[in-house]
Amino acid sequence: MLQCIMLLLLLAGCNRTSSSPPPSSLLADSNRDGLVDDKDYLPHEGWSAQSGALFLANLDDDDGDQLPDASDEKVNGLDDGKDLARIRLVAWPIVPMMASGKITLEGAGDAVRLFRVAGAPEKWKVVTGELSAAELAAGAEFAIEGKRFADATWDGQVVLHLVVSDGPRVVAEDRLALRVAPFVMIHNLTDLATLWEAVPNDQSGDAFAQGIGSLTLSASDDQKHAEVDDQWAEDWWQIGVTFMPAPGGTTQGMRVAQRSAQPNRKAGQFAEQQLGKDMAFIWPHTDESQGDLSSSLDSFGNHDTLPPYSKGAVTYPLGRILIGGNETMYIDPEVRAFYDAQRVQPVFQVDTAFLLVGHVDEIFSYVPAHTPRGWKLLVASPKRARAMLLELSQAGHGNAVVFAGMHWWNKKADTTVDNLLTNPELMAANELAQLKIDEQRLALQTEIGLTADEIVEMPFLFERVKTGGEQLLVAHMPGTVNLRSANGSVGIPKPHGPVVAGVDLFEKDLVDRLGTAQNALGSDGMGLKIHFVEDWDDYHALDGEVHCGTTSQARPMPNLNWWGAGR
Amino acid sequence: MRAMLLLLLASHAWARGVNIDPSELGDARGPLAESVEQARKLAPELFAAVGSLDPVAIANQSRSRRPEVIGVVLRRLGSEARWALLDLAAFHAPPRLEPRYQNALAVALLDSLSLAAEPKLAPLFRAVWAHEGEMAQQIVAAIGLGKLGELEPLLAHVGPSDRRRFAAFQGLAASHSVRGTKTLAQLLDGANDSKTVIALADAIGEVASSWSWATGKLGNAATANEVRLIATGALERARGRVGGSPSNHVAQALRRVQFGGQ
Repeated sequence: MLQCIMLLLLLAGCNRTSSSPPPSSLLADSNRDGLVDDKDYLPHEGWSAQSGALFLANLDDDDGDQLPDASDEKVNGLDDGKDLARIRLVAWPIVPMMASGKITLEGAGDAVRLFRVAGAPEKWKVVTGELSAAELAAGAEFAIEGKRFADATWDGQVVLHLVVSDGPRVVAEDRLALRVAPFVMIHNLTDLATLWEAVPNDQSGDAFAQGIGSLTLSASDDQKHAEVDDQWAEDWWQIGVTFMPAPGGTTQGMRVAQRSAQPNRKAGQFAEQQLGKDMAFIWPHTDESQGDLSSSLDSFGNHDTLPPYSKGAVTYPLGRILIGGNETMYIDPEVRAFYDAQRVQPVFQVDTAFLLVGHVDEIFSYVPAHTPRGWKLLVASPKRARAMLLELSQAGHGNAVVFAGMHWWNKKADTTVDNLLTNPELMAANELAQLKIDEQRLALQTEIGLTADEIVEMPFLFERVKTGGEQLLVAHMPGTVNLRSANGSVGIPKPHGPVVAGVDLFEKDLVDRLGTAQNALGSDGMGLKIHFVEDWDDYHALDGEVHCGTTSQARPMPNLNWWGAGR
Repeated sequence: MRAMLLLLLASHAWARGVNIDPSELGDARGPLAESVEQARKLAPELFAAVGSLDPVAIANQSRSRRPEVIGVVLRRLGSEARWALLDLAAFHAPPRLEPRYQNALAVALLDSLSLAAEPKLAPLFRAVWAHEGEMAQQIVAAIGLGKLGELEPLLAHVGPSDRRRFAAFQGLAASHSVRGTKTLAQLLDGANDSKTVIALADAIGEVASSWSWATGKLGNAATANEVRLIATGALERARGRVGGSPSNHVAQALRRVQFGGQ
């Protein structure tokens, strides 16, 4: 009779009202307070925004053996043990003497591993799931780790299915659903700890590094240098995070270095080399490159993150992943499937195929603002650049020098306001660029629900190259929208705009509009701290800018409640 | 800057041009060769720099890593480099590259030379235009011819079944001429299939680009108005009868024609 009552109680788990869990039930941190206790006796057969336990893909290397911690069947020390989520089997002191239990992991294939917790973490053993009557009577503690993130083949969920039998009779049964924490991309409002650069070791590289140094000082960041022969630090890796609740309202997790899906890009090996304590490494990719532009689309300058926002009843508390591409040219399908599988930052795509490089960061950026949304969109604006140049020309400054002292491949780049304005080819290219940008701006504006005053135009001219059937656009003036935003400061490519009376008027325009209260930018609305970074030789002349040359790393650990995102 | 210097190659294997054999220049071969040699004497360093550009290294250094990046580099050299570029295009090709880099270089040379709007270069564009195949090169050759006002070779290939018609449309667009505009407008009036409508709408947007005409370098205000009037009429008529993707191109072309003053 007792067993029958027990089974009924357990099978009625989804309607639990008692605060005391019945014997032989499975508990995990379903209420997400970082602890496993009786308060976790909640409906737990499914995972939802309101409740459901979490665990980590344990892909960092806490013991420094150069291998992800989940690559072996050991728990690699105390720190590694913290990365495993706990599960408690509630004791059944009067379990039938001949009873036995079995826990099976359903829905995860080989993506998770379950340990029996006993003694120090090094002594924890991988369990088969078999439970003796004595273990059932005493209760037990387990720990679970993910061996990978959710992906195209696994939705990230696992159900622990406990069956307690007494001979042929099932006397107790429980199901506990858990979900692996997603890989989360950081955004421009994230509290940043470190900016990475990979500047070449030369004079122009030094100038860039100094500019970034000024930015990091202002933003209270560390500056780190990646010693690789590929200065596009934003492109070949990015650093996200993954985390689960920990006691005291904190989180437990790790940073995650992601290598771009560009197998021939050797600098990506640097990302793998960062595997270490609280730093995981992932490399979702297909083996085959899809061609030049698609390959360029796999650079992380084309995988940006829209900061958090709500539109109507739909909220995106972690923001959304913004990628560039279209139906025929797109990011690596494996990476797209990986992002989709994380669920918490739904992907939005704009068409960037009109750009030579093809990256979203060539036309869009995001900065904090003292507004209800908390941020504004920056958009490339050839139209504003042209208008500013026309105004200068009409004011008698048509001979003002632009790109003073700069070079394109050893050829002087110096030109004048009027030379730019009277170049039919350049103007045709910019008119086209503006139309293409307008289309994508409208798409993004509509998707997010941005109002006109939540968009700030960043003036610079594009140029185009004809490749036969296509005409592709790339920044002619330094692409100032391609900036690095860090903790209320911004590193903007030095515009090398027209100089009148010793003042670069494009610099002045940016300072006036971004560095003051005019557009309510910055968390206090008083403007961003602006640092102009010299990037001409090593970046601009090679079709990239400041954002392309740096990548950012969040402070540990962002207190972001992804599990409440409803996804 | 060190990174840039690494992109320069020292070796050359001279044979023919990247785009054509010098014999294809016909009677112009001698005068053009002479122009090249005169320019070489005046600016040997420019020829050395141009001749030693390595498209593969440039692509690998650039952000996009696309072979087409060589086109940006050559364009930025400006028209003063035209004789050095012609030298590569018609007389002295560097060692052959992997096909995708070789093709990108071939297109980039013609694209950059088209910007120079140098009448003496017409035989080069005519020679490439006469080639069978090599459509990407033919498109930029057509643009080169258009910029020089050589419309006859283009007009001969605008027929509905002509393989080169889309290239010819782009050449006519580059001409920024009333005649070119009228031709494109008439063709749009008679076009039905989506690809042709799109190609013609794009070409009309280009030929009547208001920002281009506002430079004052393409012609006087009366010509600008005539071109834009013809273009607007054709696009408005097309807007009333096409849908789907072509209608987007028509709308975009209209915006290009009407962008003026913004």
